[in-house]
Amino acid sequence: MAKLKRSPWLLHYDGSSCNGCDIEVLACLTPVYDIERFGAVNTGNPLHADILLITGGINSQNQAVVQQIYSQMPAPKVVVAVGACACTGGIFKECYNIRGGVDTTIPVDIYVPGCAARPESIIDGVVQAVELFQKKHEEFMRRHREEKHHHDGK
Amino acid sequence: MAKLMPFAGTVLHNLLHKPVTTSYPDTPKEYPARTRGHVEVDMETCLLCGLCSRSCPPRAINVDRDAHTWSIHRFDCVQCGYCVEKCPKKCLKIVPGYPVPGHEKKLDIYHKPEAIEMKMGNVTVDLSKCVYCTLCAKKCPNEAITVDRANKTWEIDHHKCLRCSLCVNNCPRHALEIHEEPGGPKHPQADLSQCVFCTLCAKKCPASAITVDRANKTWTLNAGECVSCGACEAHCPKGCIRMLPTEP
Amino acid sequence: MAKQSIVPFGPQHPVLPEPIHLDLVLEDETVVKAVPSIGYVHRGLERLVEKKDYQEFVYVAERICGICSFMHGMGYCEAVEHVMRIDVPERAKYLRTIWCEMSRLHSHLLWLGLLADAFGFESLFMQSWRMREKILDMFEISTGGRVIFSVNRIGGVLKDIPPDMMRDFLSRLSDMEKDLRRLTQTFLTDYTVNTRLRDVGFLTKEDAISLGAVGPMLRASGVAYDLRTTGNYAAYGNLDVQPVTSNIGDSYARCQVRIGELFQSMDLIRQAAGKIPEGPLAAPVKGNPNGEFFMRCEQPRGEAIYYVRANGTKFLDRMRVRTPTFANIPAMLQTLKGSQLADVPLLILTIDPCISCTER
Repeated sequence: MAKLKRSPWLLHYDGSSCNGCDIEVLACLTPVYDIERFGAVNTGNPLHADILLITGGINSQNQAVVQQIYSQMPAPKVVVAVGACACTGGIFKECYNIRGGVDTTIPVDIYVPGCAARPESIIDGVVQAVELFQKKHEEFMRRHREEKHHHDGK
Repeated sequence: MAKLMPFAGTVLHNLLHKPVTTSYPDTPKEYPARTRGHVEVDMETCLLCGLCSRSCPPRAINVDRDAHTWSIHRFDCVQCGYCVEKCPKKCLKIVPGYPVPGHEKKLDIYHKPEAIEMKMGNVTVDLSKCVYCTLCAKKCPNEAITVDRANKTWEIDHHKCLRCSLCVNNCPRHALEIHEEPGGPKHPQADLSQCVFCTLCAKKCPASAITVDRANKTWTLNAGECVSCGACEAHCPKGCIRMLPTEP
Repeated sequence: MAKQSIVPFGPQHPVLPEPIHLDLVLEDETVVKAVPSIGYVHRGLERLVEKKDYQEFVYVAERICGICSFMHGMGYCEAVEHVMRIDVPERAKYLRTIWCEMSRLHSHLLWLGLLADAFGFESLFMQSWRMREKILDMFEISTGGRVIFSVNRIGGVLKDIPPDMMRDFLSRLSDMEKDLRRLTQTFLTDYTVNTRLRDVGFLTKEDAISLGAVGPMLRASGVAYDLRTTGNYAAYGNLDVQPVTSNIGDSYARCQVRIGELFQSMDLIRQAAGKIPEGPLAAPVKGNPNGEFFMRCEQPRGEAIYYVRANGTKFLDRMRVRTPTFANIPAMLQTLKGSQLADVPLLILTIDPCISCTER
């Protein structure tokens, strides 16, 4: 039950992916696999999101977009790189326009392998992301309380 | 009222049947037999020829002959199965089951025990059958074979040869042979009562493993450098070198 | 003169599964002009022919797009097979046809779900994708993958569908058909769906032909143009294909055409399963390709053209794909003129955009 204590909201963004991993991520939200059992809800707004699911590698045009989405998400946040292209660049890493996996631009917490990544692997990754988010949130609140205490004491 | 009946049918169906949602991860998933999940290697049969690493589309596989290792980046593999097709010894297979997601990108390294490595002997040619069609030279992945059609010569560089047996399998005249050598790697032994210290074996050795001292009449072999090609045995004018299995 | 404002749409948007950027010029709520800006998915994979030989490139070609994956691999293989003059065995052609039609089924169901999500009917989206999972199960049992199949090779196919597996698939398809008829009734007759789809995004027949639209976009405006009727590739020459058309020309017509194609695909799979002969799965490949060829096939989204040029070495000179979404974009921009802001996601989805195919 500790999994359902907080329900983080997911944001899915496709950066130069072939769509295979994207439709598997969307398939996770549909009745057969259903990530909403773990408390996660799909949202479209980065300002509301806690977990970012990125598919596809980084190319010269979407590098700025991914950085902007990452900075728009409020802390604490967790980034999950879904698929072989997001982890390392995959089969396209020798292409001229691909700079590499997602970790060339933003820090990644969890990597999910596969081409296309199966819904079972994505569910494993999201469950780990939810637990990691819990830890980060507790750490964030603890630091916030300490700073407030320190500020009030002055 | 007519609109209520189909709705009632749906409700009854949903009440009586189990839900469509899978209960993964509480119950493990059973994959169909053909699912492509990850690549497994049988290191006993593997020759470390490197054909899989040359043909891997994302370049996830790496073969290091000097360190006797076969490694794969699990998070780079796209599960295409091309390495399985290309392996000449069929020691790779693709099976269901996925690498677990995590914080780090896993690199799996498999070691090959050294004693088994030099199981394959040298490639030998029967020149009476050879028609110099150059097919073996074209198929060789390491360019170890040189065939000259005009002058009718066939040469192989045993040091470059990977013992992958692609040439043997593709020769239309079955003029090439390669056998498993029992007893492990063979090294040359010289019969010093016959040897005249002409130094021809040392000159012909591609690995410079033999040292012959004419003045002091000594013949020494550096077994670590020896590649067991048998060139010394073939070129000795007195026939005093024999390739014998090393003592365990 | 009304005041004009510019609203940027994308690349990150709740309803879009793929990144595309449009600058919408609005007067009050009506769209006057749409200026697209693409390139977010461009990987430059056509240049990989210089680094990967022609047999390895099949694995790159099928990853051009995850939804139309099988047909990209098949189109590339057929183009190279024509250049090398390889005779593909009949059984392989029929197997390719069956997998093509199953691809069309899953692609149209995917589109129906995304369309329902675009106008807010989320439960219909969930039901369509629930049915789509049954087709993905069939793909996994026969090829080993749900999305990327890796079953095409130059000269034929790698895996077989034995007769008992084929019978199992046909019985699953019949079970699905009953559910599908009920689902598609909702799309065609429900009051809310009709209000959102009817009279939205008109494309006249003359405009469709002059702007170069292809696929269901063209067939919904009354032009009966379907490449499967030419019978030039796979086993379509032996099957009976009639193009599904509609004369209305709005978004409702495009929905109707795709639903008609769903049932047509099921019928084609049954025809192919009845006629499939025994035989080998692949022809042997010797040597290197030399020459050039244009290959056209009918993907779920429309007509795709594959151009291959080879020079006798194991690396190809050039490989180029002209995808159907690229041809449909001018028609989409035409339908956006004069529409309401709330209808913009819907109109972008009616061409069934596959931006990763377009930008490769």
